[in-house]
Amino acid sequence: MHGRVKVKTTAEQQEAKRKEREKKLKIYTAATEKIFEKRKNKEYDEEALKITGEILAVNSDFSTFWNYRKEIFLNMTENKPENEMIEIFKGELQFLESCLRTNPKSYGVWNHRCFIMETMPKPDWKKELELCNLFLEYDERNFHCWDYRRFVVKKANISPEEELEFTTNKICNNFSNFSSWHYRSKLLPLIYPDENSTIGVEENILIKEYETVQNAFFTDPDDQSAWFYHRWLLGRGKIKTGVNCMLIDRTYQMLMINTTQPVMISPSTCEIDVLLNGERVEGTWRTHKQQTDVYSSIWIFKSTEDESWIPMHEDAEVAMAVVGEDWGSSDSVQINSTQTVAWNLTHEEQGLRFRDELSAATTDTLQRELDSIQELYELEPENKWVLLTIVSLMKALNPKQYANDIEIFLSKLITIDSSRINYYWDLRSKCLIENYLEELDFSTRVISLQNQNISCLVHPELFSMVVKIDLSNNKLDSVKGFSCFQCAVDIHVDGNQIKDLEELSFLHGLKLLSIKDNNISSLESLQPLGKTSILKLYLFGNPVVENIDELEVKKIIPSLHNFDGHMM
Amino acid sequence: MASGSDLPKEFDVIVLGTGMPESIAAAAFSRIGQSVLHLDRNDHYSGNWASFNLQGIEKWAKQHQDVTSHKDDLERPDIDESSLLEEGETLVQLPLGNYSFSQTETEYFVPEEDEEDKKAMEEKSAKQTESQIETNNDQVVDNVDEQTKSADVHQATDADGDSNADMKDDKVEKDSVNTDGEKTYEFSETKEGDNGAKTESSDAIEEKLSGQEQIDNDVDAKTETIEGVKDEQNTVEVTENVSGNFNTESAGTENVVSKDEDTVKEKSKSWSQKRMKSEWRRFNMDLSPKVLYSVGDMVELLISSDIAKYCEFKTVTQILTLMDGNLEKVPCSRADVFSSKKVSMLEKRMLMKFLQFCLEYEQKPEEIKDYMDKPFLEFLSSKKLTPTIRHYIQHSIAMATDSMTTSEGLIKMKKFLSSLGRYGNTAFLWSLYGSGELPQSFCRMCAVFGGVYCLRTSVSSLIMDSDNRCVGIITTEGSRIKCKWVVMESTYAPRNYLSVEASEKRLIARAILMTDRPLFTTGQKEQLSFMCLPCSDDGDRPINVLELPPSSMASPLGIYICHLTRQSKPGLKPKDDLLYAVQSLFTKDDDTDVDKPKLLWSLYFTQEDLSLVSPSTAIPDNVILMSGPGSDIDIDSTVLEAKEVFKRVLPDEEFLPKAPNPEDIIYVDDSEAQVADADSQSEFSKSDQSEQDTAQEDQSEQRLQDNDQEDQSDCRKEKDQDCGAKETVDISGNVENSDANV
Repeated sequence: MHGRVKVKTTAEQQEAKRKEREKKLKIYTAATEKIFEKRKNKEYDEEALKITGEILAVNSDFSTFWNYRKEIFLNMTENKPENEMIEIFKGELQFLESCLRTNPKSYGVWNHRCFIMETMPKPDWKKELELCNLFLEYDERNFHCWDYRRFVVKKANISPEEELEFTTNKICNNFSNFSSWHYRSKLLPLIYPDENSTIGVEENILIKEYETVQNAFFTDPDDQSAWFYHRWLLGRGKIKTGVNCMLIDRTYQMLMINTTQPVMISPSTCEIDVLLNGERVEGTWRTHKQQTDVYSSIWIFKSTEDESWIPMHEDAEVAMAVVGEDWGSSDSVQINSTQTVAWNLTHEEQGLRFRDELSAATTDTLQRELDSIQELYELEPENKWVLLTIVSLMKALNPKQYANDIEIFLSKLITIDSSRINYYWDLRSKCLIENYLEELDFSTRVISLQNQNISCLVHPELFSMVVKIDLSNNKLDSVKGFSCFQCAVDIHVDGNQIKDLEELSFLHGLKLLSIKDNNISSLESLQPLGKTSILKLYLFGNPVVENIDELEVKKIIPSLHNFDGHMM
Repeated sequence: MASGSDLPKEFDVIVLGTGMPESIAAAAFSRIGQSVLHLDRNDHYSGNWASFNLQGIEKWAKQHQDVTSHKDDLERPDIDESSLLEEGETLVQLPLGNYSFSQTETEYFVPEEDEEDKKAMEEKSAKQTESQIETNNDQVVDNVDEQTKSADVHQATDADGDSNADMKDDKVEKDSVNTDGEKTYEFSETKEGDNGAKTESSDAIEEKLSGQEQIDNDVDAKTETIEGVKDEQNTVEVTENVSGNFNTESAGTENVVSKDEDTVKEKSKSWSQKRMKSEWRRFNMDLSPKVLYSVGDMVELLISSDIAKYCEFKTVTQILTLMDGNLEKVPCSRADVFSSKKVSMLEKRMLMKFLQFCLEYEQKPEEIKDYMDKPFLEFLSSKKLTPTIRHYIQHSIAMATDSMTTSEGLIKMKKFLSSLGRYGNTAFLWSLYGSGELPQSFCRMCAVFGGVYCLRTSVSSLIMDSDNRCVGIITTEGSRIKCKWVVMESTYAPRNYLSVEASEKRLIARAILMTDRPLFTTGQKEQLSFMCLPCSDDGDRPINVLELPPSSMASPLGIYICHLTRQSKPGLKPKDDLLYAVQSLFTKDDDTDVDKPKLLWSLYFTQEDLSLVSPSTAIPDNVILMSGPGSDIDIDSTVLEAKEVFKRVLPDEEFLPKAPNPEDIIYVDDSEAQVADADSQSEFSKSDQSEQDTAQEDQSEQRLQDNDQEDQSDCRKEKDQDCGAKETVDISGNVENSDANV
């Protein structure tokens, strides 16, 4: 039509673009080859800087070229006068900045900048901090820049107070910023240190932080960064390493200990001497899974000198002494001449055993937080973060008293947040089991948790001295953790969804397993039982039972006497 | 610019008035190849939407003291117009004056001269000879600095800067785009010209200039692109722009701010009329100040048509409200709500929840169906909000009047809320150098594609054929020009073209105030504030307050411009109608109420609300009337209006498609080539470099994708994140050619 501006068709444009690219590719390849050649010949000259610069400007993730550039700079620093070098270094900083403009998240560029700043004479750290400010203004969540900032802050001796102020501003602009919150959590203990508080920050400062973070989640309860910070403020209690239970067994000639948190007993980390009536016994520590060099809460000691190191028919005392670490107590256990088994339980204060996760905060704090978040719950009854935080706070405050509420909130979570159903089921199981264990008299050596919809077994290490375990009619889908049941004789897990029996192979004392109505579908799944001395097995109601040949079972488990009620 | 006598004898469309809707329409016609003649009876662009400097607006005010006090109207050609008619044709005479402003009243509240002036006078006379030499130097430097500018352009911008003085001598500028492609600069370079091409002398200017440069750098440093906000790839482009200055200026955002602050403090001591007048060029005062919704038809059009490259914006940084006699910042964005100390935690949730609801109200019909036709205020009551939250929502976010229905209120809420966070913490953008810049950007696009412009020229008569179709016009220069369509702002139309109901005038009370300090400020940053101030005397006529800081290029350092706008009624004086706002927000005395800004100067006027046009049946089919400015705070309706007009004239054509990349234009003849050349020189100074940029983009795009994956946890709410502290917004997405090190 008349008067119109004629424009190239798309095909023409594409062709032009393609040619352009081809041309560029040629140049790129040629330059790359040249650089490799030069590096091989150890040529550290201006030309090398120029060509690598051209390539890196368009592709700043080419690490080899950055490395070559570092070599060039190190070489030049040795051979050129300092004032000349300063100019070259300055030029490099400018070049790096232009690279960052095109690619502010390039590992190579930020890394090279660190190198230059550390290598150059008279680096201007203040200017670097301004650069960080600028780049964090464009993208306040550029973690590369946050990393570089911390590097600069260290070098420039910037006070943590200033940095805290900086994070405050960033959070005010947009509180959906994990980096800022995290930085705060690192700065606060430096500025307001307090040994007595468990996250190491003064109480009055903590209260202000609670306020800030509450403002954030009242403004947008769906933003998880604030909730994460809130969780950090509540603290994570430190568990002191110690021994929960010490047990000696004449039958198996072993000493078993159950520690408060996983430890590694080995010559390189932590050694434990075992003393029999005051005499040191040579022996080895293995975990309940026969492992060494791993972290575990259950360790078993056997003597290497004498297989029956615990004398029969006479009183004895076995003591353990931790070498090089302070576990707070030196434990011992006495066994008299008639006992086959004896133990020593460290008595936890009632109700405190499992509160370590949030126990850092004071009860007042927890209660205050619970109250205000319950207010938020009134307004946002469907918000998963609100519900979950209420659950953790209740659990930390008084799991027994809030047991019903926790149950209600968790079932609500299960309905509104279907993609994390299993997490909530497991959390519920945890609450149930912990409440149960709190009340349990371990010396009965019986655990009975039936019909509770338990989906996973938590704290299995605490079951290590239990003889009879009944977990029937729950929602277990595996026997994960069952290897801890070192003293188990009877295990009842009827009416679950268990598919395999892998961990049962470590249970040397197992005599009876009732696993009716589960999901065992193949004979191979029974293999682990072959390593035990099991006598009775109830397998009825599992898929595998259809067309099962009892002889086959016997072949797999030679010790078996009774299969589904039939004598074999 | 074309002189009347040189004009071609035929055009497809003749557009009268360079106001907002006419300019959009003119650009749209020209863009798809229609020949356009665009006339304006004024000596400036933008008509009733114009922005003036101090001299300009004082002169304008003198002319509009009264509806009839015009001494500046165009005159009809001194020929017998009927001699130009052909057989069967008749004439319809058009009015030549503009009667939509009246009751202007200006007043200074500062002494004419003070001690400082006298001191300066003495010093100045001592340096008289020196400064004259410097004047010459200045001009040389200017020419060198502004590399692309020819002397020709320099002159033109000068004329534009001082439109009143220069334009009279040289009534119409001489060049048309068709014959001299270079002239297309005129619009875009005006700003720089204003800053750079100073003709005043004295050292003071040099100081000012360097100060100005710093601001400019600052502005550049914060230049942002619309796409930049949308996706990460372009955030990189933003980065490029910024660090360009960073190198030379040690990234001193704060430095610049603090320098500004110092100057502000110094200047806020006192002003004299003399000193204000000496800075007359630094003022840009709007007849019709309008903001843009960040997600609105105007912004979308600017982006989609690529006209955004001709404009610069600043975000409105805060929404204010008057509560119990105190000014407060209204928390409307997520970040504001979070950091607000004025509302409790529960209120924060309440507010956010309601705002969230308003964004999605269409999906929740059951919650609103009983209220849609009832007053919005009733709906708010049903929501059980606390008084503070209700106040914020009603007056500041919905800007609801007493009689507004719920459905209207929700539409306004949604528009406001969906605009939040695109460029800043409020919903609005402000056009740097005044709203009058916007129509000019569209005129520029029109000119780039061959539109011909004549200022201070209008149509004396329409020529009608026997079927009452307009076949042509006679210009005030006495030329007969054929045309297919005439599009005119309604004030250009003869009375009988407007329906009788429309003759009942709707009026707007306006005030432009200069003050010595901002209304409300926290921290160091300069704020651009907007406030909807409800008035107890009439709940349906709130006063809209817009305060512009120096960095919006509305005023010299130390002076703030405040625009008051209120729907008015016949018989009311603007000063009385706006009294409530002036009394509550400002003071005239030096000593009392130090917190309130002190008035330095005021201009009141009444403006006819021309936003509704109802043509009568007498109007010919091929003559279209367009609206003038109304009391709306924004200009999105003008886009829809221009679109409708365009569709009516050319139903099958695309409305303002994106302008092609200059590199892709195939030149056919010389005149077109010149147009394109000129354009590519100004916008894409080194074409080979922009190619490199494209290559870099390709690469960086990919890399950023990779990084995105590493960074997933950080990826939420990308929309919010970019905007925070950015000062100026260049929504065009134009990449400045970075000095790539290749």
